[in-house]
Amino acid sequence: MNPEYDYLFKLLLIGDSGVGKSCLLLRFADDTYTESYISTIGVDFKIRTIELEGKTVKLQIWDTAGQERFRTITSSYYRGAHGIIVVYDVTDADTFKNVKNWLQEIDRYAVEGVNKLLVGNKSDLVGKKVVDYNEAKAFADSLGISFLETSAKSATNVEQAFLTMAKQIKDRMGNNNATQQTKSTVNIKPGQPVQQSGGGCC
Amino acid sequence: MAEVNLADYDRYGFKVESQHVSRQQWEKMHATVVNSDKKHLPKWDALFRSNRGELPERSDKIKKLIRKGVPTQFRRKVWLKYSGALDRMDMNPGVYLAMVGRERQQIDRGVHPVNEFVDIIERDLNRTFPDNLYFRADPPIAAPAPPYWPGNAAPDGPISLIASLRRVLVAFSFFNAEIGYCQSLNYIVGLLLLFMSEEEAFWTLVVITENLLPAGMYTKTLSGTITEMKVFKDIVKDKCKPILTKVKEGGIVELDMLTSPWFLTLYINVLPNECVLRLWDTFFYEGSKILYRIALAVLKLIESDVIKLKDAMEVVQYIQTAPKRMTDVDKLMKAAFQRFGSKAVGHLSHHDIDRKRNEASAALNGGSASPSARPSTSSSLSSRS
Repeated sequence: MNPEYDYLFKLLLIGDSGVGKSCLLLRFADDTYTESYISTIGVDFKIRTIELEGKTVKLQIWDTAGQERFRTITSSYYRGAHGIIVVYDVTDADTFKNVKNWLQEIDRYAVEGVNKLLVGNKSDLVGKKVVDYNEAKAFADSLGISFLETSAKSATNVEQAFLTMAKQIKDRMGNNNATQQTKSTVNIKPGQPVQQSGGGCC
Repeated sequence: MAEVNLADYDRYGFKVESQHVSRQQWEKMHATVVNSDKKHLPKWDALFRSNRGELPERSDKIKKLIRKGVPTQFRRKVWLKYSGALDRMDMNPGVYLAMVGRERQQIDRGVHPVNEFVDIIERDLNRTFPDNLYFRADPPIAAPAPPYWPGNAAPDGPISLIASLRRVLVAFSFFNAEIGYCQSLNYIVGLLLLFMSEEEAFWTLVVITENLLPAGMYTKTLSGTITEMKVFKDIVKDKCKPILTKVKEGGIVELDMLTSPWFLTLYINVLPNECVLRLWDTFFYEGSKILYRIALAVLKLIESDVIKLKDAMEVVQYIQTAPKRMTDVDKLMKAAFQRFGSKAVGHLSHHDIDRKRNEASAALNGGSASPSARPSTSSSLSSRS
């Protein structure tokens, strides 16, 4: 058994290629930033343990390749995820437009009730910004999901993004345990990693 | 212009030290490969001499010689000859330039973007080898020319291969519509460009995707990759079951998912570059079987460590990072090709892999064998035009 944590949450980072998913993860897990980052092939993951409302929460965060064709192999990761962070680049309107498609992927592959968070990254590039905060916020509100603008480079809001996600999952787990909802109940008990179903492909 | 200390870089322009390999470990690895080159050089010289300066046709003798490692100055010739790239290039004069010209044509027609791949290619250019002297966003002025440099004289300004990388990838995206561009091709072309010209790298990429690798590895659904993941799992079940079980029991991810990038990038960013080059020597001669041999060798070498780990996440992390620390090139190649021994991969034939591939693609296609399953026999290496 694993006595060192109370909860284990699995998070997934998705979004177009080059929006900074790997950099967000590197900032959150290792508190570093590098300009010389390579593009992710397949999946990669990192772990960080946080304290949340007196509980120890281990976050297992999966980073995925952004190119569309890799969805055929990364989509099997959606099912075991408790929370999914959709990332776009505030300096690239296309990546924001594509958020809709990424949300559809979540509907298709993730469990019902999975927590979602919208993140607009590269907020430090103020002069190049093309996606308006209010527009993104309104979009997120209309879907009932939280939204944050982050900068992996300057570390702005990165901590908050992951903590927001963790808090929401913890709250949902609390409710679920009380009401025994079926579909979205993922068995999270100390020492019981989330079961992932199926093989590596769909 | 950026200032760099050339002592921090290897002969291919890559940074010597990394998060996974210390300078000391690199130096040991470097000394070994330089010695190995020296040791094998006379045999290669003799080979060229006895064949009027050319490489002879395929033979068991050549295959054995290649498995011992090709001296790095001959890599370009050996790779081009035995991969079939040279034949393919000779049979298709002007095609590379025509493909490069397609972009210009599209621009002249007012088509923007010129195709659906150019945008994602551009996003990857500076994210391919960002620490390599020739692929940095800000190339240093003092760097010597890379091992292969098309110019006759030493260049005056800083050398960058980024524009070449772009041209080859965009040309290929026009040439092979089924693939277009798939992330990880950037790494393959990038490494090739350190050894050969754009046109040669282009045709090498063509034979890698069309002849050497199973069909469909990089296409829009990655169907070939999905098949290979299944084949790989099957083979590991036979050869290295404890590690497969260990990963599965952890419940986080399946082993084939962790190893899929190994196949897609031909081990770039997975193993140290000197290992990648050594396995590429054999890959270009023997084909996709090598990718399996290397994967199994890596797993055999780390198996006893992985089995001891208690935490499932540690297991995954170990499998992702341990290969990056494998600086003993000979040990890895020995494990891959040795017939017997606890760390040896043992018998693994093209035939076994083909059979498993047929089964896998039949299962994935709901009962009928896929027409896309391409045999991995060396006969398939003969060039097609």
